[in-house]
Amino acid sequence: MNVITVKNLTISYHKKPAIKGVNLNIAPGSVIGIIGPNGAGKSTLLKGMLGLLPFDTGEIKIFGDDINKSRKRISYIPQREQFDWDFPINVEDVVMMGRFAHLPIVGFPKAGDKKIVNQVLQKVEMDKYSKRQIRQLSGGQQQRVFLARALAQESDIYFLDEPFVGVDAKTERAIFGLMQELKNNGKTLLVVHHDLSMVKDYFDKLILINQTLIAYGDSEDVFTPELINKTYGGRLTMLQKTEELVS
Amino acid sequence: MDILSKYLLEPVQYEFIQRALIASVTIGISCGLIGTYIMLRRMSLIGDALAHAVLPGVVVSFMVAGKSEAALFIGAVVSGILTVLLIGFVNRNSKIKEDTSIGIIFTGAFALGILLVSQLKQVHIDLSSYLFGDVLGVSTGDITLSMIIMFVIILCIVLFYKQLLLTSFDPTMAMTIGISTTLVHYMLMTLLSMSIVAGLQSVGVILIIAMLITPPATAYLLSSNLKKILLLSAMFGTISAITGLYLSYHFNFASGASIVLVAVVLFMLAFLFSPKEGVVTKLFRRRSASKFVLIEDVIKLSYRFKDEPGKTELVDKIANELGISNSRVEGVIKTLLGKDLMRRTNGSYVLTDEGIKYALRLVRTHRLWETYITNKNVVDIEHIHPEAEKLEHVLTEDMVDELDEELGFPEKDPHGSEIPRK
Ligand SMILES: Nc1ncnc2c1ncn2[C@@H]1O[C@H](COP(=O)(O)OP(=O)(O)OP(=O)(O)O)[C@@H](O)[C@H]1O
Ligand SMILES: [Mg+2]
Repeated sequence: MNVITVKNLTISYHKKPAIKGVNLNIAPGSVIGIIGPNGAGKSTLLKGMLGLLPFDTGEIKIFGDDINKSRKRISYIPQREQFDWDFPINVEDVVMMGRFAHLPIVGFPKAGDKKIVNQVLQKVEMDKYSKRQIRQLSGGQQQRVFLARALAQESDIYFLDEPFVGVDAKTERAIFGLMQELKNNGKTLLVVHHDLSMVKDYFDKLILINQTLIAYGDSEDVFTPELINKTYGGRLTMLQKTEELVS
Repeated sequence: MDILSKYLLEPVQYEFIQRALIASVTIGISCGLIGTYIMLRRMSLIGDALAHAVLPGVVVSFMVAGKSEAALFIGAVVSGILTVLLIGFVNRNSKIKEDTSIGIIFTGAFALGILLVSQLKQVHIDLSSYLFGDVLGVSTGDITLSMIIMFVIILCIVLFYKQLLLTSFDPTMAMTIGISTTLVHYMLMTLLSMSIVAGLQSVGVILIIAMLITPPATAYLLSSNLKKILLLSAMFGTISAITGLYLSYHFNFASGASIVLVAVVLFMLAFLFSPKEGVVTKLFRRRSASKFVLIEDVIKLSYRFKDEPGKTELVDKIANELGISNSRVEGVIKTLLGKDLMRRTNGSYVLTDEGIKYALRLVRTHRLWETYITNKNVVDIEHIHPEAEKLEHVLTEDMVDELDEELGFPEKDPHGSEIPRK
């Protein structure tokens, strides 16, 4: 069964489409890269699949059903610039947020949740920093903390928006290792990435997008000069331009 | 004791002062708690707006039910919520930004309130006590109301702690796991309107915003733990309320104004002297840190120049190397003599055994640190600390050992100098 099915998805901001007519069928157990230039609609696609944005047309199914039925099974790691790093919160408390998905409306974290938090912190080698305020971490450490939060949620689908931005080589390897481990446990990972190096090593499959879906398939097959050019280099076609004008 | 009882206890024998005290404490706590979330969510503007926008609700409740706390409460909360809805509606349906729509709607609501007051000659509303607060005129009904409000606020914060936390810090994640940010927003707006109603009588519309943001901001300077900030903020709200009330009683100050000024004084104290962030504290810390760095540098250089023949040459060389005056170097050496890290010999200064050990440790740290920052991505380190080279002074011995291990116990530093072993 497909983990995610996207049919004819169009999402607009202020009537201007950011992504148009996207169709995708995503099978479990793979690491999928979402590739495209700045402003291509990568984050929009991700947020759309998460049900965070209203869409003009189309349909999204997660595990064959409405997303609201499987919210606990989905975790999202946003782009780093999105946070207020001065927020009064420490590493441990950020990771605990991952457990909130499993708590009842007025429930408090239990010993079991704390245990999971400690385990994932060890896994990303951040247990030493559990009491640190998040501003006092390096970029790579911050990224690990948010990864740990997603792990603590124990979900089945992971959406990561540019997890490799601003991290050093060591953290990059660590993140990659974790992604592989999750995949081997049958999880599905969708990762927005805009750096073309390492693409083939990191991702089993690629979604090439620039407003419309350019290609989707095994990395070997779609990471070709023509398709990459089409994604990055190619200016808007005349047809797209006129469409823009009338919309 | 006499003075104490005169100033502190005398006022308390009056029943209206007792009521005022209870009312002030409850609003100090309510506003301090709700205000913390208002501050963290950068909604101070909407706090101010709501304080003004409850006026038409208050007037209408007067028209309908006369002076009744329950009616006042309902009127104020309803007009608060209507204002929030209206602001949201304007935002969603035009390209007007939120701060602008807030400005338009709340001044409009406030003006409507004033207009209603001016038309209602038969109903007497003391507009000035509404604007500036009159804590000494608090009734028993007011107290009951503000106590109930305080308990509701505390209850909501305890029960929905995680929803409030997550929607404040990361609304996107909140939505992905199915927490309704809109619902939490409206809950907070309702609680905010309620705390404003509670504060109207003692502080007044114009100044209530201060009770909502000043104590939380003070607490925020002192802690980076949300639970502590909530407690401190409630505490500062309470202290301001009580102190302000006493000042108002003894000096006949306007109660709202003196409560707010005490809160601002507390803020200024935290701003200047907070252990972590205080402006003055930082100044002192920088000075003592740079003194410490200087001492270590002098030890290191005394070791390097240990073969200089006399004390003038030694002091000259060190002063040159560090770019400071000879007398400063001599000052530092005097400190070192006092600590038995150096001693006088015939015509010069030399390091004692203890001093040599210290120096070797510094050299080891310095060379290991240099090796480390060369091996690593230097840009990354400069990003963490603009003065990377100063970091070697803050490394503890454990950290240096760890560094050594991580580097695989190197023998030479990047310049080829030998790294002393332990
Ligand atoms: N909240 C928003 N309001 C209006 N327009 C938006 C909004 N978010 C994105 N857009 C527009 O939609 C388009 C796609 O944006 P999106 O953030 O999805 O791109 P992206 O591929 O993630 O880019 P990047 O690599 O810079 O992160 C861009 O043209 C952007 O300007
Ligand atoms: Mg993006």
